[in-house]
Amino acid sequence: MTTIDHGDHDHGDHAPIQEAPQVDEFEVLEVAIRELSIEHGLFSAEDHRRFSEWAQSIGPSGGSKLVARAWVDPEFKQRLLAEGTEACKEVGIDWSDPTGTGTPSDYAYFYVLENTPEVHNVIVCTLCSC
Amino acid sequence: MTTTRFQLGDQVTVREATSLFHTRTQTFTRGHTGVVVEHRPAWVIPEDEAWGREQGRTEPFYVVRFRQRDLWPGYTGFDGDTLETEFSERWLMPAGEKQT
Repeated sequence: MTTIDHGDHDHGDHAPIQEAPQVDEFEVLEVAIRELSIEHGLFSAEDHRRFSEWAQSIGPSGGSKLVARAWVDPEFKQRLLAEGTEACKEVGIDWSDPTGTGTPSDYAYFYVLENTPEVHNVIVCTLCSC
Repeated sequence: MTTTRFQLGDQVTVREATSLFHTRTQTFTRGHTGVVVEHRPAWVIPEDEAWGREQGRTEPFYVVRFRQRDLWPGYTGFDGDTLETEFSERWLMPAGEKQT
């Protein structure tokens, strides 16, 4: 431990003071419900681990792969523009997973729009439920 | 195969009706006229799906293109700007037809 020279006085030796890790109410609830669910056999700790790893793996990398492939492979780009959902399967993205029609209660009809010098597409939430 | 009431190029007007509950029909499109530009596969309508009726009423969906100028009062963008969004069949009627 480093001793700081305080001149005419000292503070004694003690362990470094660290802020306690913050756990918010929601995290406490999550842990409580997770542990109860595992205890009651709703799912196993192994199921939970697998799901957490999957959830953390979701991100923009799938979309980047899709666009990059379209840049370097003109035939793929044509297939992607013509039949987005099918072409995505070639880079390992299946929009119909897991129900055959997308995530439960979701209408998944994925298609791809190309910007041109004349047409610039802007995709927005349309506030249809708001 | 569900028959589609409207074909590509048809002029359609969005019905004026309730915005209570779950319709997925944007209120800013109500009463406005646009053109059908794409068909979408038939699907359970949001009015049923929202209540968990996954086996509810199924209808064809349509992509309708509007001119931005027609939708927004005082729109200052380009004249050619358009907006496309989807509707279930029940929300559309032939342009010019009186709503019943």
